[in-house]
Amino acid sequence: MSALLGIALLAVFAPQAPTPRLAALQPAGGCRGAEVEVALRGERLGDVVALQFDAPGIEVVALQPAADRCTARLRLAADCALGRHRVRARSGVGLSNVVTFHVGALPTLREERQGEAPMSLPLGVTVDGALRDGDVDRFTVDVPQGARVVVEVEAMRLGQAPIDLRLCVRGPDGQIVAQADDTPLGGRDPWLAFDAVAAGPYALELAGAVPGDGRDGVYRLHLGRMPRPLGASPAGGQPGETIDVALRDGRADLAAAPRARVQLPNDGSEWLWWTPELADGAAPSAIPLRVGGPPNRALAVDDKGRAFFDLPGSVDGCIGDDGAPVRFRVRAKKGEEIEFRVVARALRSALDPVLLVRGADERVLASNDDAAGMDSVARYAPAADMELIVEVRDLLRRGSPAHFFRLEAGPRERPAKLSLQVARLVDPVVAVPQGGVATAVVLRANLDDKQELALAGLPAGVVATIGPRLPGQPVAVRFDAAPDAPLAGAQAQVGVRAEGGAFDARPWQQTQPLLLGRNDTPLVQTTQRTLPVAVALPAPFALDVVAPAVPLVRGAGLALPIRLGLPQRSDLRVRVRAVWLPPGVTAGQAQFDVGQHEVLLPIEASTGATLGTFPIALVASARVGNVVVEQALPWIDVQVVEPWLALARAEARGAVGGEVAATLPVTRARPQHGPAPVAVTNLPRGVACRPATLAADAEALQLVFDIAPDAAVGRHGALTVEVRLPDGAGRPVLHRASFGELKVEAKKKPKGGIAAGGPP
Amino acid sequence: MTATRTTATTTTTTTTIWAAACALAFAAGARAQQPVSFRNDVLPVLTHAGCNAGGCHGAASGKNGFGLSLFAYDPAADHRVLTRELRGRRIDPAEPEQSLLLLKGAGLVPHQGGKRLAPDSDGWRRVRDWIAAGAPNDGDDAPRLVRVVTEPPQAQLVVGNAVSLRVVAHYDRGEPRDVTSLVIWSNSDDGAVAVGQDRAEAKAAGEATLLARYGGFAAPVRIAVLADDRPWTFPGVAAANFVDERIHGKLRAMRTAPAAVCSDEVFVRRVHFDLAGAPPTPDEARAFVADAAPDKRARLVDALLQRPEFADVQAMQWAEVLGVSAERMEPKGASELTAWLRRAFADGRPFDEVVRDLLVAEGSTYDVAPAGFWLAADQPHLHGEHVAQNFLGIRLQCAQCHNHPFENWTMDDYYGFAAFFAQVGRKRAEDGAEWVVWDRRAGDIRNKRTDAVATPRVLGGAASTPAAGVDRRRALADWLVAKENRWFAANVANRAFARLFGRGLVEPVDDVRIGNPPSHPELLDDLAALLVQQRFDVRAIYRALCNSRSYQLARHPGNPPEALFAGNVVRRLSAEQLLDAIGAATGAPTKYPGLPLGAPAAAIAGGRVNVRFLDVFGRPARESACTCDRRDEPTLGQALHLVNGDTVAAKIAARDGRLQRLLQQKTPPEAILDELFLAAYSRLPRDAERAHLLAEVASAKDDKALAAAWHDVFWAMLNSREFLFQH
Repeated sequence: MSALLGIALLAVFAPQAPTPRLAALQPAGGCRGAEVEVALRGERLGDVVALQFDAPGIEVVALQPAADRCTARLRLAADCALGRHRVRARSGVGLSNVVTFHVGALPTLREERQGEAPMSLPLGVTVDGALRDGDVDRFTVDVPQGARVVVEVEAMRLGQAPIDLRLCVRGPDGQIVAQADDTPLGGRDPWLAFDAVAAGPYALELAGAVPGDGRDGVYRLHLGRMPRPLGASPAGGQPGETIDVALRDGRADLAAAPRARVQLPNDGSEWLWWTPELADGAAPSAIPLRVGGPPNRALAVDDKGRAFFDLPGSVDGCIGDDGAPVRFRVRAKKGEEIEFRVVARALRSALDPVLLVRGADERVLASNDDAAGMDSVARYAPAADMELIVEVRDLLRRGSPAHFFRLEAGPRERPAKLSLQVARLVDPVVAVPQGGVATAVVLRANLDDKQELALAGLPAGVVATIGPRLPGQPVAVRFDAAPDAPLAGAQAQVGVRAEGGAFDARPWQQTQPLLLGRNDTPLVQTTQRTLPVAVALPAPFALDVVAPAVPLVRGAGLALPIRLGLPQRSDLRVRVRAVWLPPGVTAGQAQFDVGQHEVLLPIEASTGATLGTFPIALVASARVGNVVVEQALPWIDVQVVEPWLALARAEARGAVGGEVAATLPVTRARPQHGPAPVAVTNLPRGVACRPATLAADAEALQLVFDIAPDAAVGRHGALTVEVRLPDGAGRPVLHRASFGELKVEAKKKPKGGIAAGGPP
Repeated sequence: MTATRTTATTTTTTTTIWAAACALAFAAGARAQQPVSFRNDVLPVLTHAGCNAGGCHGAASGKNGFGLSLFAYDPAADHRVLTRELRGRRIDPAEPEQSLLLLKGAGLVPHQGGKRLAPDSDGWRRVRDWIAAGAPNDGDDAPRLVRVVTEPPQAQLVVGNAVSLRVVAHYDRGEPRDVTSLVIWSNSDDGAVAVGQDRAEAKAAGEATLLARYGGFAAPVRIAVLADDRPWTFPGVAAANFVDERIHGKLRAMRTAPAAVCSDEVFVRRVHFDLAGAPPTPDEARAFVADAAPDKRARLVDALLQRPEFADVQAMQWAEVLGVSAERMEPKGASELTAWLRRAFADGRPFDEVVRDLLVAEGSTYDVAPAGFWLAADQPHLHGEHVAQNFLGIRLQCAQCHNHPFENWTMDDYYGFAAFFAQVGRKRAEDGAEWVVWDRRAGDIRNKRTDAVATPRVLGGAASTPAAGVDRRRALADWLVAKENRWFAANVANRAFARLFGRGLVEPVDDVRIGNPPSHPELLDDLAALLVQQRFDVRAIYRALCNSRSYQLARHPGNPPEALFAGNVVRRLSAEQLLDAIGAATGAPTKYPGLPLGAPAAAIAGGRVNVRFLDVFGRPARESACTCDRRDEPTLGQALHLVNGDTVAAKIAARDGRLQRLLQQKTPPEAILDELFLAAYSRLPRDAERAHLLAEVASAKDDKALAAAWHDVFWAMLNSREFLFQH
């Protein structure tokens, strides 16, 4: 028990300085190999000390915070990966939310308004612009005859605003040459390609697609003669594999399509957003490639023209212009469940796939539409070895070279996953105060309990302690920063380490929304494969939490005293809650009212709570302005034990206006160290229990109830007996037991009343 | 009052009535020998007594534990309830007179509904005889009612006179029966005609439609009432086209002279509002009035029909009808569908093609705009109601739960029609605001009456089993837009008529039924025929109507019924017209969100851009297919908006507005007044107006006072009825 003696611990709490909030970097991107001056948009940006990108390639060469604003100069490496880069702002109190910065291959221009005149653009350029509701941004570009020009807009994909744009191109004669709105590839972002029949100025018009929706936003418009593939075939491969792909550029026959080699990652990613780079340039935006799933298989075609592939396997396909379904055949083994998955919309295909699994007699055995977003998944376990026909068609029975798909067939995949447990709309980052502590809770899925959680790449001066690993339970991680830990940030790796095995960070992935739609539905998301951790300034506020000196008994509870240190801010209402508790233990909330110095946090153990000594992780939160800030408290250990005694249930009955005594036999699991005071709770109305004490040697507990004349008549089964048994040091240890049943009866009418002797 | 004096219309039917009466007398004699039919004898008695009315035992939950089908739409269920429920204690074949049914109905035991059947009355005896016969149900060979006929179907009376009424029921076998004593009459105008069980009496000049309801069928009697029968000559006004011929024919019959033709100033304003949704500019008004060409009105009509604003107005009006709303279709879906409608009207697409495209649309609401139409409702039966009301002007809603009480639509018709839409699928796409509509090629709807799968059946047609794998909606579209469909073209024409004349030939335009016949059936037929002949070019209808003398009438000096169209029907400008008119008059147009400055309110997609003024003045929420969604009654809020609100005052005071520009240019007061009058009323001030108003501004001592005086003058003009109303 000595280990459970109260220890005063110090927790820091810094609610007066919320972390910065980033809305965007403007411009939203730049050209690789160039330097770009960006303005940070958001709140609380005056104290930003660094920008923290989660991947190499972008260097911050200057940072100038001023008042509530901040500007930065970024140097984009010549080999910087094209596409989306995640970035957070770091101040002395922690990390901001994530926003994205987009690296392209074309030189970038800022949109410039010149009255009503369109902005003149060269071919091969990216324009960073902004559009307000009702505006039409106009550009003009000289195009030589016969040139094929690609225009692509990134707007909503930038993750800044749910803007929906429409693009229109007019030829030198003023007639519309091409126009685009939503596309399978870009979602709400339009893109188009046109062949210049005549040389001359072509006009580009960019406007909101929904007049009056009141949405403003920024965009990046890419203009040039670069390739714009819709997808690739094969559309994926195994982790770490290098695949040779044909790029789908709109032609039905892939034999003549451009080809490229792609190295697929082996970092646990399920998707690679790959920006094709060919001799004629880089595509304006990335296309998704599937990483994982069954291996690619070649199709074997029999003399009847039927296409077979081996299980497990993945094949590519495309619905022809006639919209006719595409069919494959596989040979399935008895009892082996096969998961068929059509990946189409996830590949940004135009196909809305419907999947049917048929027997050789054409009978439909399984079918699906939309099990995975708009893609389809069906499972079937044959009762005997048999040949199956897998049929893929478009819901609207349409087809085109853009209606491509990848069919995966094999055992059901259950990938191991780790992620941070965060409340809705809370950023998954960790900020550890110098000399303080932070707690994170990691969720596990499809992981062996033998695999131990591990972290690497923490900022200097920060160490992580992994909490108990209990079956099916999330794992708490405590971060402790040394008092002299430098203020810094890092993208830590979180992974697992099997017994004696190597560190494996592949299961870790953290998907978080960049842009929310109605009902907070994510419109644009991003996935991080590292955990942002920062060392923050120590806070002048403190919370003391006292570890309990006595154990927590199953079926009972105890109260943890928490004290707010000085100096205090009198205008804050600080709440304390638990973020990790052992199974079967629950905690309420404690709140400091203004001026209050100490509160009690109640915790309870169920009768089935897991036995043992476990840490309890608490977090304090307070609203500062319109921002809720949180700060972890140091962990304290709590021992969950079996009850030291058991009380037999009683059945007592008494009439109103009287009294009733009850005897509850006692069974002890260990000797009792002296008399224990007893109380009964949950008494019915009008019933009181006289003060009682359970003597150390008593074999039964005697209770006496006084029943008032107006007491609630009936059977009462909710009465609880609370016994505070002294431990070896005389400290009371709460025990709870059910009393049994107390029956309160109405007063009986005297026998022989009016009926016997009254008038007839 | 004793003589039944009718005009030639009823005189010509006398022979028919007499012959029918003889036949009925014979039939009555023959019926005396026949057993009492539950369906044909007993239920009509109960219906006439009101037992199965909605407020009594016909309520969905019945009354006091006794529930009948509403107006006896389900005879089998009624027979079961009467003879089996409560172990048959409602009837007593051993002592029929002591049956609870008769005792309650006669009020001989406590009955909340009171006395409904007089003991020993004809109806009471029929019920008693049926009980005495063992309360049998009708077999399959019992005659089935197929129609009821009123005699006379129409009549013309002079105030104070009356006409006898007869209603005859026809069955699929056997003789017809006189059921006059058992029908339930309804009356569209109690003030014009009083109806008894077997006669109608003219009370005041006007028109009324009496509807006889019997056995789930209904038949009308149209009665025109003249004030007197003194000699009268129709004034010598020439008909400009067939529209006038039909309207003049009715006016001649009703002894009403049409109003005079309106002035050019009134016409130019009226036709601009009706076709382009906004008033003419002062220059347009001035030029039109100055034009001496005799065909200038026709030329103006042609010119306005080609303006893009005509497409805006048409698109807005049909978007309202179709229930295009951002709430149901998401802002982009509503925007795309509205834009698609606008393009269709601007391109002059035949309207039957437009409706066909809507009916068979399949795909994403972003890519295939008309697919958004299928988001206006979310269940097959609601699609059926929507399509019937939108394109046929028929309200089927009542028939969902019981046979239509005022029409011949049955529940079988209702669910048969709904079955066309049972396979319409819809789902949200990846973008949460995008919907995909498609033909599922599977799925059915059950008839609530029979609980059987409903077979697709067009209204008034036979059930037809659709071929598997074929979109049922295509078959429906083929039928709906066919030139043989008497409802579709008539409905499109009637809506156009109502938009120009202030009320439809059938009014409300989406309530076509026997009890609500067209005021000018021949004209409606002619307009429908014109539409078909012109390959559903809606401009042809508008052109014919606008070029008629009847459209160009001034306000009538008397007070004839509006449905005669003897004069212009004055009505308040719609919310969109009014706000645009204020903007046009003041030279300070309203900037609607997402639209360029100067775009009309009619161009607002989805109808729900937040503009408070439009809501206050009755812009519809587009929550139902009913035309009643658009409100035109005056409210205090409207008055306050005009009198105290920012809309009028701020626009008058706008720096770049009309008045400020005129003042800054030091325009002479006479010219300012002319310009303001033309901008607000499309006419020049009359002498008295000129003198009075110029005197008002002449008293101003300085520029500030002068500006204030002109502000007051203009404010008063914009708050005048002449400005606020379409006339």
